[in-house]
Amino acid sequence: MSQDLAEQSEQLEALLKSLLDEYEGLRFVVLATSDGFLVAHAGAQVDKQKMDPNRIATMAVSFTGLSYSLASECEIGEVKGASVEGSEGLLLSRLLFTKETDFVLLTGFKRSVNHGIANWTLQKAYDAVLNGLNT
Amino acid sequence: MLLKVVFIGPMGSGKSTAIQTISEIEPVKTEARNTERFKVDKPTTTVGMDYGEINLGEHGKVALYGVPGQQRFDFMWPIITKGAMGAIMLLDCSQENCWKDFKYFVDEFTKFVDPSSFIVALNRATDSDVDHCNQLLMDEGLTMPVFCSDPRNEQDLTVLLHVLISNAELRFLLD
Repeated sequence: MSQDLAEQSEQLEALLKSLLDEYEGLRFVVLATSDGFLVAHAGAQVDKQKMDPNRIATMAVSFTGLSYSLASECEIGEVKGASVEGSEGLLLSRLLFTKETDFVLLTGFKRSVNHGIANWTLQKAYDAVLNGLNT
Repeated sequence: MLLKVVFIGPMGSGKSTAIQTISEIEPVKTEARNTERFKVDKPTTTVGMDYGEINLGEHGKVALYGVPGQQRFDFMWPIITKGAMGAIMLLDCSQENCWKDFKYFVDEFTKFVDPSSFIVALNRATDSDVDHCNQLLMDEGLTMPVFCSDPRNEQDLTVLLHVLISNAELRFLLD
C-alpha cells in the first residue's frame, strides 16, 4: 500500500465509522485496494467475532473481481454491485475507481435490511468514500 | 473428457501470460491494478483466477486455471485446485527469493494436488538453477520433472502439457 494511502487510512476509518452511525442496519464496511490490501474498516472486528478484516478485504477483492468478470462474460452491462445473501444478512460489494488506485468497497448488512435499502446504502457509502478518497 | 490443469507460482511468475499464450479461447481474467510494483513491476495482478481452454476435439478439452500468486489469496487455492489432474508450477529464476517461494509453493500445493502430478517450469533459468531446483526437490523427498520454459512460448507450454497428460496416463495405467 502506498505511503499516501497509509496516511489517509485513519481519516478513511473515521469516515467508515460515521457511515455505520448514519445508516441503520449497516453492520460493517471494509475498504481494500483492488489487489487485496486492507485500507480501512469499521465494524468488522468485534470481540468474540472471528472476523479478520485483512482476510475479509482480500476475499472481497477476489469475489468482486470474479463478479465483474462474470458480469462481463454474461453481458449484463455496468455492474452496480455484487451481492451475497445469507440467512443472517447481506453482503454487497462494488469496485471504486480513482486516478491513482482502484478499490473494493464491501458493506455488510443486518438481516433486517432488504435488498433495496442495502443497495441504496451501498450507493451512499460509495459516494462518501469516493469523495473521501478524492479530497 | 475434461482435464483440469492448474498453473501455480508466485506473483509475476507468468501464470496469466502462460494461459493467455496457450488458451484457444479468450481467457477469463480477474485483473486488478497492482499496488506492489516495487516488488514485481507489472501494471495488473490476478485477484480471483484465470481461465482458458484447449480443445482436444472428440477427446474433450483441457481446462486451464491460474491461481492468484500472493499468499494473502491462499483461500482461493483449494477452491481452484479441486479436481485438478495436474499442476504446472512456474518460477521466474530472476526474481528475488525465488527459491524460498518455490519451497513455499511446493509445501502448500502438495496439500491440494498429488506431488506426482506436478511439473516445474523454470523461466529465465541457468543450468545451475535447474540443478538447484532438482536438489531442493530431492531434499524434500520429491520427484518432479523440471523444465526450462518461457510462458510466452506456446511450444514450451505445449511440451509441459504433453508431459503432464502423459504422466497422468501412466499413473492411470499403473493404478
